[in-house]
Amino acid sequence: MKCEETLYSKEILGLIEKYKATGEPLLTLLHEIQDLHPDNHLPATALKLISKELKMPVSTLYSTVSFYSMFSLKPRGRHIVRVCSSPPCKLDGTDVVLEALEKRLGIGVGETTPDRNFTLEEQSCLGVCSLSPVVMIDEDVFGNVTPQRLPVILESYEED
Amino acid sequence: MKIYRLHVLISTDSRSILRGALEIEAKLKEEIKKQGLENEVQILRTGGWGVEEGVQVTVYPGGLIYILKDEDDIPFLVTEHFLKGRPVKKLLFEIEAPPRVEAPPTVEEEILRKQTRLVLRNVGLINPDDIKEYIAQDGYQALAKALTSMKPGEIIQVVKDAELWGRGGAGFPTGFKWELTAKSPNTPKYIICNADEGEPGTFKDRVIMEGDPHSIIEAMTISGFATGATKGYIYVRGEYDLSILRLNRAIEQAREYGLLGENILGSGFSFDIEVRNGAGSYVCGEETALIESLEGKRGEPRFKPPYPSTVGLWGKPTVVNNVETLANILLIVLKGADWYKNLGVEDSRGTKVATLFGDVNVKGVIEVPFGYSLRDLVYEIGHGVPGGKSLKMVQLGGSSGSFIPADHLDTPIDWKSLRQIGAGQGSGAILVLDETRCVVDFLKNLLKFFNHESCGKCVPCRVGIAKALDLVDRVSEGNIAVEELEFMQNLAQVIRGTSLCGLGQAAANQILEALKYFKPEFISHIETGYCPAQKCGGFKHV
Amino acid sequence: MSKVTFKINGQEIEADADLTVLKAAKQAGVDIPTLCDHPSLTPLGACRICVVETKNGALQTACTLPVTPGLEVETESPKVVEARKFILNLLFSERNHYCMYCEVSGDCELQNLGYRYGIDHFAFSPYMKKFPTDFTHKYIMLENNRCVLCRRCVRACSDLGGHYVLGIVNRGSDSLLSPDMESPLKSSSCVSCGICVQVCPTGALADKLGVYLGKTKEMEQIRTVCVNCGVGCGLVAFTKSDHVIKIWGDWESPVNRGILCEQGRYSPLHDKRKRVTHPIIRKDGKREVVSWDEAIATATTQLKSTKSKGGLVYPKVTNEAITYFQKLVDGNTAILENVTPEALKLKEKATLGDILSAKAILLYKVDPSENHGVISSWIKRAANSGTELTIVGDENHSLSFFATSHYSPEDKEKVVESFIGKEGSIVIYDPGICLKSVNLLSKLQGIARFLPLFKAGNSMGAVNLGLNGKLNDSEVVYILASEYGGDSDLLASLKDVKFLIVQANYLSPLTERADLILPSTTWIETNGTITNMEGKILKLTPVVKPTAEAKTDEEILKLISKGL
Repeated sequence: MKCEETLYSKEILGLIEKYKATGEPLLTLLHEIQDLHPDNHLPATALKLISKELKMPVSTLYSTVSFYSMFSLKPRGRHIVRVCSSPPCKLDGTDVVLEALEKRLGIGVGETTPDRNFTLEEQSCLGVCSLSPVVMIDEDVFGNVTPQRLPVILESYEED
Repeated sequence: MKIYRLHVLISTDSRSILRGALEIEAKLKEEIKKQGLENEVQILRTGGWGVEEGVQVTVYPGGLIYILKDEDDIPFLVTEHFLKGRPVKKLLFEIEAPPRVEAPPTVEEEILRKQTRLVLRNVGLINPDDIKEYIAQDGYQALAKALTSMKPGEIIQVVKDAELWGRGGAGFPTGFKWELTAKSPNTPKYIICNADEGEPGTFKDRVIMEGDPHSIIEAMTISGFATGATKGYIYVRGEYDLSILRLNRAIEQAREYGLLGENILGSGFSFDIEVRNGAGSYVCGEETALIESLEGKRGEPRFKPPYPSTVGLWGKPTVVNNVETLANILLIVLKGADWYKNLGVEDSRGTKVATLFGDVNVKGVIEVPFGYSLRDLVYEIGHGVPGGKSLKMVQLGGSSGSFIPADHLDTPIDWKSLRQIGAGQGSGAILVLDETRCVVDFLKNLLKFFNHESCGKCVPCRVGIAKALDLVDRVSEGNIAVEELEFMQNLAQVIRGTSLCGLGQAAANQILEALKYFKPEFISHIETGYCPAQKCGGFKHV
Repeated sequence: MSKVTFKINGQEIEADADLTVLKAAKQAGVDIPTLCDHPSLTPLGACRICVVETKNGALQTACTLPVTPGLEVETESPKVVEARKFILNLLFSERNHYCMYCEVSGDCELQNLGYRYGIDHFAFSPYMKKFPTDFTHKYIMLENNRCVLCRRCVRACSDLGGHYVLGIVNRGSDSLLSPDMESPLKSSSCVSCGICVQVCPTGALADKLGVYLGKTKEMEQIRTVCVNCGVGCGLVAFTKSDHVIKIWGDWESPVNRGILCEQGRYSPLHDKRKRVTHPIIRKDGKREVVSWDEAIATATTQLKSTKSKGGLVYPKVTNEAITYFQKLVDGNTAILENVTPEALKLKEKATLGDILSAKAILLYKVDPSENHGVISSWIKRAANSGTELTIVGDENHSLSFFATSHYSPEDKEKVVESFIGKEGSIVIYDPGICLKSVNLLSKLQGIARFLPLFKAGNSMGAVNLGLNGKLNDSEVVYILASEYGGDSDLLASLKDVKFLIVQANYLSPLTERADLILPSTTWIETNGTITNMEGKILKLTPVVKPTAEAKTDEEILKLISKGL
């Protein structure tokens, strides 16, 4: 564990180093550090390290991270299921899809399944409005989703 | 150089990819090879036109558009069209439209007849990952002209003369913005391209970024030269992975070609661009919030004045322009203000890129000159409302836009006409709602959205929207007195009048417009529990 | 500054062109209500209470609107009043504002606005969601349910204190005030400076000690100066029934401009040390409480009867007391602070204000956070605004986070060399440094300015009055100890003293050793002057009456000198 932690810190330091050269685009850096973690989030240890390296007060950093919906301070599942909850999608039954997802995964929005496979989130407009309702799993977008289609969609992300 | 008989353009934007564009591309290649056509047919990747079903494949010469949904159709297509030269009618792009008496025009005509593709001129026609294709379409000509034969002041003048107004929503004169920054004595100066396209229902900027990224880079560089800026940033929504990728690739290529970086085209002018990504915040589309976010802070709007033109990024003079606004610059510089002013109508020059969706037969991205009426867009280009239902309203400009009820449908899309009915064009998203939609439910969803996206800095927006949502919830449950609608209206007026930025103002506008046009529907929810969508909780039907 | 003419409520007003409408209105005597705005903080424009109506009917926040020629604003028009009422109604129903259960009821700015605009009922359904509370901190309580998210505390903590402990987490209606990473205040990086409490308009951040001890209006407010270190911060003591209820930094003080540190704000309120209440004489090994007359007579006799007498001063006493004292012991005096005379000769001297405007700061083997919290604040602020901060000192230096570079003491030569040529820099150092260090630092004379960090409130005054030599051996020693309790070195050096007079605030090992103990008043009970480390003469005002029989140092010395 200790060894893994050191390795993780090293990787973070590497990313920080890389961005120091290009004027420290904080959000880009945070995205990459978040992607680094197997639990898809920004743990306190990572934030402390960034704070120290960039000389940015930890409260400011935490405040910034908590502002953006794409960053998570809590550990998340391997796959993130995002349901577009923008008004146009809501016209076409997002609520029904969300309800079905909650039922199928057994979790509410913002929660992670006990096997840490899925985290359910609401997502702002993905710009695929003509295919509403839209669900995004990791990087993949699914349009015209109905509760009936969910099992097929989720299948490929379920653990073997 | 190899000369091909046929050029097959396959759209590989993010939507197409999820519809299997890559598989279709592989299958096409396989079939072409099988038929021994690899030296005759060239496959190119492009962005899509925003046609919504299947993967769009355009074949030149002819410009015929196929919409491929099934890999199994490919062998037939390759044999029939590519080998034998007979277009496959059943795969051509068709639209679900009411039958017409006259003979149907060709698909190409059908889509383009009503449109004027200036901003989208290259989208779908060139490979966005290849600068050479952009250059072949007169790319970087405007930059060359600006750098070699124009003075910064002249560029600003031509943009002013062209009467180009910002396409992000607020409609501020672009040339004037540039002039403010150019005149500011502080340095360095910055150009920011606002590509934080978070407005629900809007994806025009993404289409441009994915299909024609060099146009943004070129326009930003011209803007930099005109205003004296040396650095540009493109702030792209965190969700737009492909846009970020294509822009970065385009920037690299531009640098390689000496079209970006030190001493561009030997003119002595140096300018560079970086792409920065957002991380999921709608309010960052507001220019001052975007600047805060770019500085690595919470994306909270600043109070104005001062405006970014003089006090912007890191306190320095900054031009913030929307993607679509920038895309207009090139033709203005290249062809002049008079040419540009011929497009559109008085007070609204040029074209507008819009997204058409909701209860409409043909959905997608379109570009028309200003002055088109909404009716034309919905019924001519969009081929009307499905199922023969009647249209209830259009929400123009995304969730922060304006309610346009059916009886205002003949209003032309231009600033002046829209202002007369108290509306604005916003981002250009056109959401069509048919008669079975419930305004109360729609408003509730709009307020939920704004409540979620409010940054929380100012009181009227942070608390006011939540309390308004509470009131609308009570309307949908029929658990409110009709007299309280006036209180709701007063609340909305205060939110609109006192919010720090456009988000709170836009949220309040939704309430005010819903009440302005559809008050009887609110009253019927309260008094009889009738909801046209049978969605609301108070529905008391038997 | 060029002037601008504009109109408030129809009245023409001339104001400096760089003012906001709010400030210009205040100067003209027009009261515009505010909530998130604070005169010492940068405007935020968040609460929208200060909206005024402009000519075209638009509402603009006065706190951010610059005055422009021809501007016309109405500050209490029907539209403005309606907007303010709505905003207040929204705020009252956002979180828990049931005033009667709140300890700041009566002192609350939100409540006052409620009265001003006649908010007499909940216009919206009142709050539903509970927010966390935090009572872990020794002095401060954080009650998020009473927070209006005005961010005065966040701005004060970062912009005035330089600490960056408080921040807003989440967004929209989930926004929450939180220390560090939603850590409990106790275990956060909070340095207990208390500026957040001082600026909080509601009961969200409050002093634990003052809870339910009364409203500010019912208290007396007295300005005095903190003597706990050489900075000399101005403070306002709020007293009731001769007790100090709370201490604020004095916004008007040119020294600290409102901020304080834990030593100034909380230590005086939480002092648990036992006071010397009466004069005490040691007779035949036993200690006996005596009258002031007997005590003074004994002191006079002892001082008269010897040819070798000396005096020691712990420099938390006034200039006036020191002057009397020197006469009393024939000038054989020394200061109870480690001061190297050569170290004070380094020129030019810096002022405290120089810290904020310095190009570079060298912290030479000194950690201001330990005793000089306010200086630490300024250094943090300077570093945050781009001043280069170099530290020579231990690895765990409290300011290392803010440092541009950090060296161990072995590298001191190298560091000093590197400052040669850095005009506009200042060196902050301990006045007790060794001669070697003095010689090293003297290389920077003419380049940098110097600020010795004196430990006590009147060290500078004592030094100016000539107290820096060593004490000659004396039979009778008189110590003006104020709050000082002695250390082993001092006690050892007093071994051969025949008669020891200790004039002190508290019982301590030093008073234990004394033959005569004279109860003196603490600095909050004393009047007189002190000289702070930059040479400013500051006036002490007694805040409460002397405890029991304690008298001021000056009074006691006067009584003794009468008998000599």
